[in-house]
Amino acid sequence: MKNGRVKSTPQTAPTRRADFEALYQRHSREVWALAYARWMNADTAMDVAQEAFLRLWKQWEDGEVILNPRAWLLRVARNLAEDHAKSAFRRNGTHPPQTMNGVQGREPLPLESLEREETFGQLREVLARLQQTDREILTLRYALDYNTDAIAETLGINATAVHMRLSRARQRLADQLRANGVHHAP
Amino acid sequence: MRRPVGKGAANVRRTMSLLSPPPVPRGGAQPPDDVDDLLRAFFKAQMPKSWPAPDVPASRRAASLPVARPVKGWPLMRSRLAVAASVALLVGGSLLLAEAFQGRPNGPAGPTITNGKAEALNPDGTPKAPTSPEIHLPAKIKINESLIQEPNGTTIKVDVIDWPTTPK
Repeated sequence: MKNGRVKSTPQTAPTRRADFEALYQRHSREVWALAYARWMNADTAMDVAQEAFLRLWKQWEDGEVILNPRAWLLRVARNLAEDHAKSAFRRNGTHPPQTMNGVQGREPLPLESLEREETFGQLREVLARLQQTDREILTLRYALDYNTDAIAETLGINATAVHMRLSRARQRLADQLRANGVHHAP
Repeated sequence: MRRPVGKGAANVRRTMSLLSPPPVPRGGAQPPDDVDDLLRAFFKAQMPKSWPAPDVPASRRAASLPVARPVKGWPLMRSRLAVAASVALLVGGSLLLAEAFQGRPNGPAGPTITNGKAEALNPDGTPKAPTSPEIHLPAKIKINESLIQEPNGTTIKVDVIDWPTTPK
């Protein structure tokens, strides 16, 4: 056994695929959420999540058994997100990938949508300035509606630490939103 | 920014400002609920609307190119025999060539000049008379080679001198 993996007995292809799809349904959103917390980009996060699952599938095809697929996926997703940082620099040069996020489309948006987009843009900036651990916990809480126990399990920390981190992350976020002049929810 | 349109409790609640004193359920440091609503709305907008299916190839065997299998039996033996025959031919050929050149006397030393401008000269510098097809090779010859650099080119001069055998 190496890194929590062992060689498996042969499994039929349909069974393997069904297991894989069940795993995807269960964990793809939290894999996405962790990648999103790193990059604040939904498409990049989806690419990272898909790649992590593809790698899991390849491991299965090679006959490897991953004892804790969820932990494996989250670890691989984190590593992939970090690797993306290196390749992103090559693609974007000195401009961070968020540079293009604020570029508006040509079509005029209704007033409410504009207001909403503006607020979200400011929120995005504030979130990007937070620590990654803060973003992770906020993403799991608000994107996936995870409760304390689920967050604790996903991040591998205890419930008390989740409470503390979440509270501080919200406070920091609120402070920065105030400093940016964001007073109202859209 | 959305402005309150009435004084009802619902409107006040909807437009709660982050600057207004937040509700303090405990500890006094809790940010207002607006942050929660804002974060929920934000992440809801960020999440993909339709979650894609896993991006996995149908089957690695089907997707991959056919791999050449190692051959067994006669084809393998045939290629080995071909290699052995090639090596034997190479060795035999080199041995035959060596034998063919073994009994042959060495030719005159010195370069063979095939350039049309080259000509054999007598020791006094006059050109040698054309020789008959039956050439009498002296027992010994002396060759003086010289390379002359001139402004209009380079000349290679080769003097071939009969070396008189000393009578004993």
